[in-house]
Amino acid sequence: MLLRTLRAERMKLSHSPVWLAFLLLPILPAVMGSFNYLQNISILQDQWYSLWSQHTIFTCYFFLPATIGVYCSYLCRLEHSNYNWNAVMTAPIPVFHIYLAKLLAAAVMVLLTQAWTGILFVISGKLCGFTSPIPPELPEWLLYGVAGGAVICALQLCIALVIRSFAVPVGIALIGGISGLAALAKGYGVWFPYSLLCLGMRANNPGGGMQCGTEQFILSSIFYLVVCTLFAVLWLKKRDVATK
Amino acid sequence: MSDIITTTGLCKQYGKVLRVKDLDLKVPEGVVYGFLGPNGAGKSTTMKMLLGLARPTAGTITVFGRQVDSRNRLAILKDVGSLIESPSYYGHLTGAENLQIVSTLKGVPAKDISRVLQIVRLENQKGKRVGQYSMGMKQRLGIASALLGNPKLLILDEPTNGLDPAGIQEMRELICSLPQQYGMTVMVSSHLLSEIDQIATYVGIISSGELVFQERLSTLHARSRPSIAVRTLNNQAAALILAEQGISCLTQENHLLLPRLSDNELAAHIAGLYERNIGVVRIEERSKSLEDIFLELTGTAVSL
Amino acid sequence: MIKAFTMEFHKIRRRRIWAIVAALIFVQMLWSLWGVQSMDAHDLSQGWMYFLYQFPILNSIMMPIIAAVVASRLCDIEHKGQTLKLLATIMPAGRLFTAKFLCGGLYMLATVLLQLIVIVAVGCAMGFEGKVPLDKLCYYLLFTTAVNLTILLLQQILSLLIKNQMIPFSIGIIGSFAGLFILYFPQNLAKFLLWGYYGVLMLVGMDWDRATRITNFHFVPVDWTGFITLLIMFGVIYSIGRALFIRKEM
Repeated sequence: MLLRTLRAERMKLSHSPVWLAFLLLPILPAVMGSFNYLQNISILQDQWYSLWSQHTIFTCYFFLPATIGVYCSYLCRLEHSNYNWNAVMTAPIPVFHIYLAKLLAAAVMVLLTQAWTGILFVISGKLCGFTSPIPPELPEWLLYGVAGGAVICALQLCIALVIRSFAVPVGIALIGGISGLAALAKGYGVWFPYSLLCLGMRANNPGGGMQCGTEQFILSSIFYLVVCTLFAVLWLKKRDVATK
Repeated sequence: MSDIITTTGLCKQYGKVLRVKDLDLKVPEGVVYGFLGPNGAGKSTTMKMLLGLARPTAGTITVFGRQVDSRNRLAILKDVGSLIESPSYYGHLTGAENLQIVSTLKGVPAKDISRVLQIVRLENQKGKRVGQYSMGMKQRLGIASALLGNPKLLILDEPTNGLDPAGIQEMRELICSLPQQYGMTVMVSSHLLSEIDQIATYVGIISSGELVFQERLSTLHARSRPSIAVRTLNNQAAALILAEQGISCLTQENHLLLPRLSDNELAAHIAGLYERNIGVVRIEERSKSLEDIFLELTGTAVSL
Repeated sequence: MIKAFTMEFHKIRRRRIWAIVAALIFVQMLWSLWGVQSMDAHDLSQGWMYFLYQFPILNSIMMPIIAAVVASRLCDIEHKGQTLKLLATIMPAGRLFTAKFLCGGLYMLATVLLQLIVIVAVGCAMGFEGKVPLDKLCYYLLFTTAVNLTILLLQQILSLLIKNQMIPFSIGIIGSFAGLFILYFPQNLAKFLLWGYYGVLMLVGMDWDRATRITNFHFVPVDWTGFITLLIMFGVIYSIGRALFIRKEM
């Protein structure tokens, strides 16, 4: 049944250029980050590792959370407008699946963005003329990034479910990203949902480990995913459907 | 004949106001049930509660003989098609794509889409984006997605909204044919008595949240028995004389309204008036229209 | 015109636009104050310059998104209620466009004023060396407001013309992203990008000595050609956007 819900979700997204933003987003830091790296090559001497910071640091603090916010707002907006909750909630589909389908739709977009970021990173590295091998940790960084991104998706979907406006959840995502930066700097990164993306991608410290253990990171991610899912399911179940 | 929907003591409170009060609905199988009431009487709210879109403050709902709760809700909804308030649609997708989404969610084979498109006569518009549909076309699309999968029960909220006269006629014919052709039970709400009169076999009338009438439509018609209006040169005296003879009558403008009497009885009473020198100038038969009964029941004018 | 302007404020009652703007600005403040905590004597001696360097960078990250939020909030109510077709029959479309812009502009102006108050208050409290550089702060107010309004204008046009609010937001986010990156590029390049003007019109430059790890700030001359280019951009965007909105079929 979940598969059907997912298929329906994919159909809803056809004819709208949502993926375009995610396609463009990683190109900017790839081009400009690499350029900046080449200009400051005397300071940044760790080749791949320095370039990774250049590519990802701004993305995962500010712009990826905000873009995820936009995408999640859009996913919910589809249902908030034109009385669609009436149709969705009378379909013989458990509310858990409705939320999960949206979460997966958003998480897949993050996964693709991460893969695209990885590809661009390798290409930029080669173009910069790095001779050392591609860092073996790269897939790990990207995958952890997917986990952290999925947490933001889950949270933003909950916010967009509750707040019917398009803009406000995006504003909250930006605030979240910035607070995530602060939380990370203070060492509370693993406790704060918006920091997990940056933490997982090691954007500020690519050479070393994470601030926390792997288990802690994974547990924290799972915790937030479960809490958000529970909240969304309860919200959809307990609340009367509001259509306008 | 068993009941498809029954509710007992159904209530819905918004803030401090009881929008729906102790509703005991009974919708028998295989009928077109007309749910009639002025704007804001609680029709949509009731239908939303039947579908689980709004949670009742009190009372129980039984559909297909099973009391609806959060566990069996989805199983019940598999056999229900609905259109509430206004049609649901994704504006950036075409009509056919919208139906595809609904059929996927309902688990209905895709070939059913062309069948329902044909029923509502949207085959030629199916490739157009719904955002560009006219109001009537959106309404047809809403009906089409309610019909997907041949549900046993159809709940339609003001289905003729936004349709042109030809469309309204078609929609009425469609709704009337559903019970015979597919054995469906249809619950239709409307604020137009004339519409319910033409399509329904059962009527429930709701007024400020309370059910004031629920019977066969024929019972409602039986209430509209004609009365006799008499105009005399002195209505006041005439009323007194008739009262002496055991006839109570109402005064309406320049007429006295008498209950239905046999021709002989009436002739005798009129002769009695002549004997007392009261000139009778008009005798008319008046039938109480359905509108009058509706007004009596709801206490409000029929809203347009 | 005044009636149309006040109507805009009536329309956004209970929408609490100020709340989201205030929240964003508040976060920005906290962030900038965070850096002030650990200032030593050397930093304090150039505290004013530090702020005038720091805030434009923060602005280029956040202001475009604040502008997108404000514009979308103002325009989306019309799409949701399908009120544009009503409004188009009772008032000139151009007036509606201007009224909306002024309404949003007031919010953007308020954010800069709020920033200025914080800058002055914190500066005095921390004991930044020297008098409050009023002239520089006035320039900051003028330039930041000018960039804010131009970006708001662009966002408003996009939000009004495109029903799907995801598109203006994506453009806003990508624009601000590019604006942040272009700060690290030669200034002439930044002049080609609207979102880069927070950097173009910066009043302070920075030298970072790698050997001593000491940061030195210095005032730079005002880039008047940049400012004039911005004003021309504003004029062009305004007239094109307004014309497009008037011509739009509801």
